[in-house]
Amino acid sequence: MNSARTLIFDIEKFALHDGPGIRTVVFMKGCPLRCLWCHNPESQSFKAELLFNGSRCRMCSKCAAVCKSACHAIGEGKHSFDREKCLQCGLCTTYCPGDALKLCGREMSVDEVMEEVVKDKVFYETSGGGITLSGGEPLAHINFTAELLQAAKANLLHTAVETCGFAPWEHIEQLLGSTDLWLYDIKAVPEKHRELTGVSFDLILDNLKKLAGSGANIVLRCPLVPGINDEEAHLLQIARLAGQLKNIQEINLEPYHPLGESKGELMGRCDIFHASFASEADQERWKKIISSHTAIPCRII
Amino acid sequence: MNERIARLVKAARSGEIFPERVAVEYDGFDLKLADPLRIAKRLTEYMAAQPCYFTEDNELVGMMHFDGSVEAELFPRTGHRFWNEACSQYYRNPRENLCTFEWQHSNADFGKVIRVGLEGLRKEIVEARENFPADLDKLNFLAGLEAMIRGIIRRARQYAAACRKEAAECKELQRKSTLLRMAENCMQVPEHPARNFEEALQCLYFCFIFQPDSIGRPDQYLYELYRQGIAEGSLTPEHAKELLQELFVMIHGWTRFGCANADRGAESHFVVGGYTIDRKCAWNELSELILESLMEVDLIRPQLSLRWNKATPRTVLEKLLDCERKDKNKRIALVNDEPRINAMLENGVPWETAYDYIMVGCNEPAFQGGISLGGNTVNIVRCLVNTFNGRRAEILECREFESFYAIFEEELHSDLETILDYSNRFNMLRSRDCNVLSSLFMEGCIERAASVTQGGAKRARWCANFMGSTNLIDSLCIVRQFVFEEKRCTMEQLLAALDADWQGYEDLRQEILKQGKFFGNNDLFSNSIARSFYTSVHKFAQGRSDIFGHYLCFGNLTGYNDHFASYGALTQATPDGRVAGAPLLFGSGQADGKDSDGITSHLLAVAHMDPTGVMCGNTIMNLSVDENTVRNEESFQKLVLLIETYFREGGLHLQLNHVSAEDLKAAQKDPDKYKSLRVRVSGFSATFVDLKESLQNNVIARTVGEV
Repeated sequence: MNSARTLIFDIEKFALHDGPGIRTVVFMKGCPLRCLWCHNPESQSFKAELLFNGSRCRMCSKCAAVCKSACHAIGEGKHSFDREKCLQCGLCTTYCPGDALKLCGREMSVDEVMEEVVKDKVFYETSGGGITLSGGEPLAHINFTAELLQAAKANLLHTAVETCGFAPWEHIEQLLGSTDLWLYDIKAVPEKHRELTGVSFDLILDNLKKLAGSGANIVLRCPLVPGINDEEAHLLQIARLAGQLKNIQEINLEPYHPLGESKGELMGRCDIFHASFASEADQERWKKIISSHTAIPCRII
Repeated sequence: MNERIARLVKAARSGEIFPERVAVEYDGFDLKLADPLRIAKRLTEYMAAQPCYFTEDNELVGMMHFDGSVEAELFPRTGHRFWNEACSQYYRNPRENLCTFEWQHSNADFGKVIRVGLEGLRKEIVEARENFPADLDKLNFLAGLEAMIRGIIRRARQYAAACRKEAAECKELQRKSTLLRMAENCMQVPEHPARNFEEALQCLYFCFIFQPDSIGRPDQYLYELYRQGIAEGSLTPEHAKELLQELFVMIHGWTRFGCANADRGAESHFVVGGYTIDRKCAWNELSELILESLMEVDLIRPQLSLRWNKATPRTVLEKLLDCERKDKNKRIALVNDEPRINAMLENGVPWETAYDYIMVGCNEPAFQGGISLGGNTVNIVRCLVNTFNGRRAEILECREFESFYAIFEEELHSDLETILDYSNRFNMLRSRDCNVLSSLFMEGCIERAASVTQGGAKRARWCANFMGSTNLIDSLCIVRQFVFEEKRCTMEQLLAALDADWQGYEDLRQEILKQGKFFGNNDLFSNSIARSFYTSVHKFAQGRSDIFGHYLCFGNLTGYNDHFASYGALTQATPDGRVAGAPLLFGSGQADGKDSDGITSHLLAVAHMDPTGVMCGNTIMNLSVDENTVRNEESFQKLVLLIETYFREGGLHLQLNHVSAEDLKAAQKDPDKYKSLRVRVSGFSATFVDLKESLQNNVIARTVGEV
């Protein structure tokens, strides 16, 4: 029996781009980084959060009627939601007819998560797929992550961990035996790393070197935002790391899309990051620069 | 596709290849003849009066239509008086808001007539006569069949003469020689066995009009002559492809241009792949050529299903899906042999018949030279409504779900009995029609000396098609969850809410929609309800048969008509949150966003829903996937594996919808209806209706842009 529990904000079935085969991705809520472009801003906080989509509100006032802390005020065609007062109990979401209110984050045990994950075992077996732990940052949920990976291995599943690498090396080391593939983020050049992500690159780089040295299979995952972190120096850094380190299987470039912008609005954030879509030309340029400096396969995903 | 075929395709698409029908005055001298003889005589006169239709682009001939003046082809029921009379009462006119007749498909044994010729059938007629020395009706029927053979041969010779005449006048040497060959072909087939692939195609082309429905398994019955022609060097794949394409052009053009069904593909549906008689994969190089030929021609008909089974190589499934994603005419679907053949074997169909089944119409299984009886569309939700209204006092006494379910099961069985009664009455009425044309090509009609309308076909199947199975399963789930297990409401409250069409009970309805356990999410709760329901259907079917003795099977299908909406319009509110008058769901799957656990759970729930095989009748399963999954090569490869796994797990049927820009726009306007629509944004997916408008527009723009 596994005892660890943590806050899960989504379990995505038939995930196609987070490791080999057909996969289920388990998204944990809570991340130590604050990347400007984060496409899952609801994954940052370690607490449950209420998402509010005003455009779907039907002004029925049912939420206001059931709310114990009087967060919802509806009148004159407007629904005001006071986030400060919200206790994240989620009661209002069960009464909302238009799905304007949704609770993000549900505490789940390893067993509960595994029960969902193994339902698709037949698909993993045919396709060589498995489970991918993502977030948020799975290493920030180390006990849960370690138990979940062991449970997955006990079920003979292929395992992947998608990580930003910002965690004590001991945490990563602890997972080496139960992780088949690391999807390891490289987000910016060292000089800009803190400004763009909120943390320094040193620990991340150090961990990556140790991980590569341990013989782990690694795919470098690189979110690229036009005009923000797609300068040549960063692209060269990616190529250099891929070339120098052992066991880098592939480089995945993830062109920016503004999904996080819509999610940010649902969370009531006003510090929403805006950037443009990466053009085909941008994407070709990135790929060309990287491919001309390393033989490691590079793919846009 | 060469220029000749391109011209033919263009003519078919513009309706130019629909020859005019010439009306015939029958002389009335035949009125005292027995039905089969009179019908054969009149059909012969009718055919002889029709112009021999072909253009300078044709190498195959025989296109013609009957006009309803006499009983002709079975599928469009041309001239069948009693059937048409029954249909005028019953077609699109549901009885008790429970069932109605919609269509009946069948398939001529084209392979047999290619193999033995009409002369082979004539031998069978002579033999059959010995079995009924004193039965005047049967002898008359056999005489009618024999007269029909003479009429058909006469028609073929008429074409031969027309080709020779055209050849005599033709100045162009190559066309002249082609016309002479066409004349020779018409002298050989269908009277005698086809000796080569071209004669086989001429035979098929010519005989199609006598039963213009499925062409069955052409990749099997044409394979021997194809292989022989290639081996001898007398046939090239290019020429074979041309002949196949010319056949497809005729099949497309046979459905009258501009008629109500002209835009639909199910007028002719055939299969490729499947099993050989020795249980090997039947996919061969001709299957591949047929697929390639079909893909090259921009036609709506015929449509094709791959018969997948455990012996089908993954590369074949991938090839079919690759064609499917590229086919803008959406002609391709997939069916799984394993559950279907197992169900046939369990019901006593011998392997020698079962292995050779085909698909016909929308998605009806049938046998070559057999008829798919039934075609009854059923409102399966009505038995639940009857349980609530007719058995109210009893269900209010129920303390556990099992006792409620036992009452429901009685109502279910009672409705199934009524449906079977209607179907039997309909088929009896129709058995007063006599058919000597299509019957020739239906296995058993000669041996039994009985018209296909009178139970002559040996290889028949009976089926009724449910609408609303998913509404029913979901409603049972809600009764169990809300009333008996979680006690969120009492049975009285639920019934009051349904009586009031949820007016004043919107809170309960919302709670159901948000907290209800619905089918399609692969959870134990809803899976077990689905399995109980289909097991109850099986319990009814076991040991029963229709009036001709065929075992009963069922399916989830709607045909061309929107019975799911018309039944729904007259059906009260149901516990799954459906309001009174709303359409019922159709097909085996879930919709309206209730399949919130994703595509894999949806597919597994459907694959595992029926442990009995009783649902191996006319069934569809629609799967919507976003266009990027289909277009991106890596995702597409995974989609192939997803579908293969679904079949390995027992899924019976699958057809894909790639979400179009139009659907995405509709989703923008009406997000509640599209709550489960997922789109791939780049490396991941998102629920489309939850994206903000600008991003939605971007997804739409990209969808359009990548077409």
